[in-house]
Amino acid sequence: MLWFIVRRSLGFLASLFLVSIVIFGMIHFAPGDPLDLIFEGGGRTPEAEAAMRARYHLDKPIIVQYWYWLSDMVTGDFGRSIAYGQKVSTLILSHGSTTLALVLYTMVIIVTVGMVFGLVSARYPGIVDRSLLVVTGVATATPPFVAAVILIGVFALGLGWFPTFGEGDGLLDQLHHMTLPAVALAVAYVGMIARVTRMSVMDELARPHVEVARLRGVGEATILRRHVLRNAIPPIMTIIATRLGSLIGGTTVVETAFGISGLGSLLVRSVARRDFPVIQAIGLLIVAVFAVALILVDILHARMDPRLTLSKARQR
Amino acid sequence: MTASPATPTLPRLARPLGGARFLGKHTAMLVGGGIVACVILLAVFGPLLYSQDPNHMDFGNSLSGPSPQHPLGTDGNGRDLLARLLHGGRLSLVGPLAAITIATVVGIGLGLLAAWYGGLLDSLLQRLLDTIFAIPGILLAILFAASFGRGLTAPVAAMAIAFTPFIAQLVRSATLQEKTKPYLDAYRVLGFSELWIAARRLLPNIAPVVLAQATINLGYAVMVLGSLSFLGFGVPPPDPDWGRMVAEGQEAMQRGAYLPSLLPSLAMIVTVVGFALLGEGFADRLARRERG
Repeated sequence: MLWFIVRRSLGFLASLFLVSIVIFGMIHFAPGDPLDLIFEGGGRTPEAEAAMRARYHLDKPIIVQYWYWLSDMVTGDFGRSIAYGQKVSTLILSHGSTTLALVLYTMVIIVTVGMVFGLVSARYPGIVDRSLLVVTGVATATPPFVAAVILIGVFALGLGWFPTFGEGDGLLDQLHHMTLPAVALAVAYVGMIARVTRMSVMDELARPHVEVARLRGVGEATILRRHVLRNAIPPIMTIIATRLGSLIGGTTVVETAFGISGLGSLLVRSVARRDFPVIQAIGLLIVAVFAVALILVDILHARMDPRLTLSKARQR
Repeated sequence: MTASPATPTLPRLARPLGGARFLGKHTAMLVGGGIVACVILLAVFGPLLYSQDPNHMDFGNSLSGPSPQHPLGTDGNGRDLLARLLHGGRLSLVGPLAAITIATVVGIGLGLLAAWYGGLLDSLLQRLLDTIFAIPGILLAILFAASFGRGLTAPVAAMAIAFTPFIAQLVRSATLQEKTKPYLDAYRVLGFSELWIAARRLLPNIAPVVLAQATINLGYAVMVLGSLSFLGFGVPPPDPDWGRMVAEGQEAMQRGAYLPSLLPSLAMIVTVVGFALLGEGFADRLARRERG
């Protein structure tokens, strides 16, 4: 188990290292001189230019520049935002909690609604299953920005139940403000999870151990909980984890549509202003969070599935 | 069970509508094919048959409802919605089509290389693909937009990279499966070159599965490009694409006009459903044939 975690973490570091090269290289080879941004207000003299080049290490070879950049990143120094003048770490902290809340809220919706839909679909074949399949099929084809605009139209502007803008103050108000954004982000994934749940529950229900449990007289609820869901959950978790990256990416769209100031909308604004320190930091952060989630799911898998540890024990 | 992120779970997660079999043997494929054919025909010939200028502004006539001059009404700048919808279809499809074509060709190449030669090359390619897999497509596209600026180039390049692992992994595992069958060795014994065997005998056998996956990916790519345009990083203004139109329609919605955002939204959903049904119907048919 320990060896497994170590190996996965090494793979994670290797991936993150490659991603950091990509992100650094992309910004570096972008057309335009970074000094243009600094001297936007004028005052561009050869001396000042040389001083700035030295200050930002632009006079050094690219490998050295990458090394400086990487060691700063590793020690948690993401530099200063060009547009805001604040430290990037401060910006990320002040915007991060909103995005974290949004992602968690979305995950709760995805897991509960998606699994309930999937279970209902699997347990009630026929008209219920068919209509749910159509609903979830359309849901998977609805990208967050489309869902966001439709939800705003119906529930915010039409019915007036929810606000259209901002993140709110205080817990209840925040929940109220976050509900539509979270639903908008969840729609496509609810469809996906419902379908995966349906398939794996149906697979499990058809397996002999369920039949045996039923013959033993185990109650239907217990069968579902102990013999079906326990086996059906790992593939569902994997899907959630593998889609987490695109879910976090989707916060850019949803936060922009609802005027929420989180990391996603900060990233979008920073791209429009070419505020590279912020772009790099948020990019790396998203990739790191996604990769950690993938590792955690692998570990959870190993813990939830006794067969994996058992086979290891036998090998010893 | 301790799968690396991209391996055995991939085929399932790459099929959002898995289980569309309820539609009957060929219905999914027929419905999907019908939708896709209609969308493509409208995008190609629509702008030719309906010759209104999609970018002509008429501020005196903004947000007007459907009328003989404007069958679907106008948007916030008084531009004809039907014309924008049709032209938007072109721009919403061309980018994804280019990206998926590149991703499929490159993915086939990488997958074949990895499976054919194995060993160190395989491990290196796996690591590369896993790394790409670790960057969400939309994030990669936003980063590309940051460095290359507005326009279709950045999103197409980003999507081509982001979708390559899906095809490469599929080709790799399909090739590994085919490699266990004796016919490839038979050709080798007969003295045919490795390249000839791979290109002329192996590839045709795995092509249908790859085509099915590419069709499904196309639907995803339409969504990604739409999201980017919604954020303002896709097709540059004033040219329309569906994502942009939804964003512009959001403003119109505040003024009580729902059509400008609703129409492109529906167009997008219908298109994505069409590609998904077509791709998955095709994949299901292949799976059934495989099972016999």
